[in-house]
Amino acid sequence: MGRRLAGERRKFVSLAMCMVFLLVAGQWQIGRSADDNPLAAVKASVQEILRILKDPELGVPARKEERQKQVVAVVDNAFDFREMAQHTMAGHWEKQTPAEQDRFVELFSQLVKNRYIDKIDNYTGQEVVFTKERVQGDKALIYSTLVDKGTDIPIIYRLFKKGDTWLVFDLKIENVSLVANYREDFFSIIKKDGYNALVKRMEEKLQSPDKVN
Amino acid sequence: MNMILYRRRGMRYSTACLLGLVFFVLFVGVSGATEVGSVVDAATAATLSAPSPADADALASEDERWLAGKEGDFGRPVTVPGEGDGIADPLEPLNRVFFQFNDKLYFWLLKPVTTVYSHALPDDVRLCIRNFFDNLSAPVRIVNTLLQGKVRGSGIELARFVINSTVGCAGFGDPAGVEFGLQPVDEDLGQTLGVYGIGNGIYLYWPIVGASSLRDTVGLVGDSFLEPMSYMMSQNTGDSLVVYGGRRVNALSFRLGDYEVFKETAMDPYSAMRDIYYQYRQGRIRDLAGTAPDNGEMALDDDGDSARRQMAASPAAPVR
Repeated sequence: MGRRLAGERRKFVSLAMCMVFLLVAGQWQIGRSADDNPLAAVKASVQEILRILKDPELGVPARKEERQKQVVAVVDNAFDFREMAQHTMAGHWEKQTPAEQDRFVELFSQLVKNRYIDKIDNYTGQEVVFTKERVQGDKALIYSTLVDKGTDIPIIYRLFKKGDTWLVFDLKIENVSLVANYREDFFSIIKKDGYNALVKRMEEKLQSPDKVN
Repeated sequence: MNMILYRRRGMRYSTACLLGLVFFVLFVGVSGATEVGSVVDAATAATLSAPSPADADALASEDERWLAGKEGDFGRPVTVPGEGDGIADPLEPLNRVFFQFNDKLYFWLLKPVTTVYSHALPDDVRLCIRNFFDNLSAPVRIVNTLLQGKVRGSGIELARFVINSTVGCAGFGDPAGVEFGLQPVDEDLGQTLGVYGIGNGIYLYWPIVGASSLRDTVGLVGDSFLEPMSYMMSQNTGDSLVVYGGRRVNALSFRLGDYEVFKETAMDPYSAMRDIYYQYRQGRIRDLAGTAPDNGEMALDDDGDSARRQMAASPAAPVR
């Protein structure tokens, strides 16, 4: 009898533990849902871009520009170009006036978009697989793989939380960080000819890319 | 960045000999001038044997350290480029001359030839040709995976070589990858030396070959002994040069136009390319790219396709 009671009690305790665990897990799940989840944020943007690229009506050459515009709109929502610029210019950013900073962000974001936008015209059904999410406070890393005909391109997104939204501010493609690379690139010019020369060069390249260099 | 791998695979005997000679002169000349001590970076110098999983973990946690806020941003301290972490470039003026040379080589020769070539041959045919060349350099990968203690990777490469050389019609097909899911494990001697704790040394930008480092150039020369093509080179140099050129053009045909975009969107393409080379090779050595720290040795990308893959999404992969 006593032994049976002990068994019951044990059963009860384990049931209670289970419930507590479920409750905690549920809380945790709720706490991370929706906008609070960096993976969901990146996923939504990537899926939206893939949807645009897969749309057969947008795929015709005549609507190429329209398609690019739609993709850029998604990117503008998901990326924080100001944060990106700030990290790229670390050390030089603080020395600029707010107006100069605004101008820089404008030029820089255009440059980054130009670097990638033509790639979407080569889209032939590649898929994106998300492999891992790491979150710590207001920072997050999303590991993903671009699957291209059985071969994989690893892409890591770095995100910061701004208010309630997670925004991407760096991409690491095959371990090459966009921000770190542009920092090296920009600092090389700044070191030699100064900040103003860099801005001038950016303006020139964006206007007539073929003529410079 | 992966065009370096291409070049590596494409390395031929006479080029190798030439590089070997130049390297020797450089090494003797430079080792006195630069502190070779700084060349071996502390992180990788930790072990002189193939790293244990724990070491790999320590190396792979660059991103984790950023998350934890312990690192300056992006895993590197914010310093003036050229100082601290990064790759030393004492030969910059000379390298820049070669950079200009390769730039002209691309626009005047490689690009027009490749444009005609890619119109003449459909994608599938060019893919087969690439498979064929990649299969020939399997010995390089088999040996280097072994040297790095990656027994499983070595087995995969050996199996790939056997399957693709036979069922895959002398390497033109890739049934090992397509049917058996055996993805290439791309390791070269430069990476092996890196795993063993040898730093980049200095940045070297070679005419024709392109971005490299002292360590990776030594690797290229070493790997060339495992390339069947280098033996062909010693028999008939003329033919081998044609074959080398063909391989380069074939590889380039998959990423034509990317170099132009890279150049247009980089303010100082030379510095940008140097940094891409540095970051990419660091990732390859530590098997970092896309690998979450706890995944150890997974997701090694392949050799042959890496160029196209990098280009498909990459920040810049300069070509050539």
